[in-house]
Amino acid sequence: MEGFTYVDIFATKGPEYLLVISALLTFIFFWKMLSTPAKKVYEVVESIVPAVGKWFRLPAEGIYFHQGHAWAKMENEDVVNVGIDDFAQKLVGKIDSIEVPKVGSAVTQGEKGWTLKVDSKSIDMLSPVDGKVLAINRKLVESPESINEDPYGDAWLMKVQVPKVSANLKNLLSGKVAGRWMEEVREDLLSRMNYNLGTVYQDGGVPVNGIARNLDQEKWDEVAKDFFLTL
Amino acid sequence: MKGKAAAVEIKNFKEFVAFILSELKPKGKLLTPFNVISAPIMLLGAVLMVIHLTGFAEVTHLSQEFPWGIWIGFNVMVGVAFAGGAYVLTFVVYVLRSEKYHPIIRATVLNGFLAYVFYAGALALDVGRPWNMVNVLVGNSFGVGSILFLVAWHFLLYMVAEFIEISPAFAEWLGWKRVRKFLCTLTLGAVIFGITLSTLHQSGLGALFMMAKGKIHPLWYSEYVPILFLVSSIFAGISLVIFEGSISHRVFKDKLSYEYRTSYKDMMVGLGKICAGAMFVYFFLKLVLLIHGGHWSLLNTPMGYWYLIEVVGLVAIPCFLFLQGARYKNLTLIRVATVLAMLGIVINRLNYSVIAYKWWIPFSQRYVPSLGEIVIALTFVFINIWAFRWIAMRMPIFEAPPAWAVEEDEREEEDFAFEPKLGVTMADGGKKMVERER
Repeated sequence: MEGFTYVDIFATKGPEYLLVISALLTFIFFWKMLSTPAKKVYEVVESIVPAVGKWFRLPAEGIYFHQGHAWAKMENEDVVNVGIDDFAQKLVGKIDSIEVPKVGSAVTQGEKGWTLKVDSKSIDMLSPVDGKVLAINRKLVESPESINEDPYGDAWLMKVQVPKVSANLKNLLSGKVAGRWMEEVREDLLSRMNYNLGTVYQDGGVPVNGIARNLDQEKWDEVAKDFFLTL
Repeated sequence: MKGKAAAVEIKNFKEFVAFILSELKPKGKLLTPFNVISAPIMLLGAVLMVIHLTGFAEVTHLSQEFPWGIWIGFNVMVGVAFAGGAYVLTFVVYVLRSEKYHPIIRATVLNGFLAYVFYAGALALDVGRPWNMVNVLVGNSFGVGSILFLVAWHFLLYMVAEFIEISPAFAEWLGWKRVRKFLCTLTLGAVIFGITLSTLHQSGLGALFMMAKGKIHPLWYSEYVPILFLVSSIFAGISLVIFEGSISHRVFKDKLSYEYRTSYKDMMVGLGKICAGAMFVYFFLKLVLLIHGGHWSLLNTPMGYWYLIEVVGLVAIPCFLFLQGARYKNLTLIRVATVLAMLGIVINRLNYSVIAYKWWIPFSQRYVPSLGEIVIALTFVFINIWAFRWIAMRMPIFEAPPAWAVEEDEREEEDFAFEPKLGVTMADGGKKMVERER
């Protein structure tokens, strides 16, 4: 046959087998390395997570969460204290002021409740309940940083008179369901995190600039709105 | 996140012409460094193409000895390998349903489509009588015995498939709601068809070189060239996606959708992982073939050193850099690896078609591309980039589709799968319900 060349297939078989076996063995290590991030990455993530970790470990007794990061707590039969959760503040960073509705005006569950002013950007948040605003926490509106001290106690934002309390609370999360939701938020946060900016958080404390800036430096307000469901 | 509100809807031909004319006007600065460099080259390239096609003067250094120059070796071979990102990513997004990479899918498919259009263009320029190319398609003389028959049909069909995949963006641009709906139903079919074609012709391009046994240096020649071409097109294509993403991330800063911006880094790290894996496989395939061929004694020759530069320096090293970049989530490392991997692909394809081809002929008698050939090769690259930029500035490639299209997709998804999700129906305070009633 013309053009036919005889190849001795046995001549190279030994080294080939060895190579294939070693390639497969190397691949196990390679795959392990590829699928687990380096230790340093974990360290950076962990240095960011403590900032929000307290919120994730929260004993949420009697607190009802709205997925837009607002909370509600029964004051008495038809009056509910409403506030923003710790995570919300850590997300946006230092809040300059909060624009709240007037006493006596109505708020609706799942619609705009109040607006955070941060660095000349306005970020709306949703009201967790329906009802009439009875009182505003002036102390909090003037110095929003006190949210951190007692997030679900003294740091309420408004007192709302709610006509249908039980119907409203059914739409909110508490207990185990709230725990599961926080886990989701945490996953969401970690999957978006930029690991390179770890140095910002060297003190390990609350990020001054807010976590949202770590996710997107220029349009971080959109990130916050995304978490608050107002985008 | 929704894009700009209801775009114009083009209803008749007159409106269509007016709209196209208004869109033809340039957007953005004209005197950018890129434009200043590329425009003169493209003009010169156009002139040279006319000279070449009319046979007025000799533009190329091609000869009977070296019939394939850089238009084939660089534009077609490298261009097609780089366009491989489209089939890999559409596979990941539409078949594996990994939503993570959704924000870059349109840019990648558009890039692939344009690459095929313009690099097939380079092919047309290279063949002696381009007008005869139509024969392969109409059957005047199919030439089924030739691998080029396969390549021609694959290119053509693949271009159609890619165009169908990207066409919803065109429909959104023109505001054609019903057309878009129809085109969207074709996407999955086009994707599967496109992936099949891609795997076939990526390897088909390698098969072209099997005809040249004895003319290609034994370190490169093997019966498994088609497989090497296929595997290398995976990381070649993905490298280009990372490279293009790094540039687009800056150039189209104001156009990027929310999803693109927030998941950009995560996507790039994920793509780096794909590259690392594919390069690992490719590197060991190369090693097995080296042993199988029994040519290791050739490694200690000048061509052997050149081979080692390619396989170690531009495959093994970038593979390791991709691995480290993915482990440390370090974009800089991934970008360095990308550039090295792309350089490796350029050199690999040029080795097959130009450098390791008839390697025994002394340098003075070898093919070296003429300046005219280089200008024309660059012209194709620049036309590609200009077309990409023109489309990306006008159509929803990086930015989110217009509001009406997003709504339609959401409605479609809801009809398709009713999934009571925690937090959508009950826990968001009925926000979604209220929205829908509106």
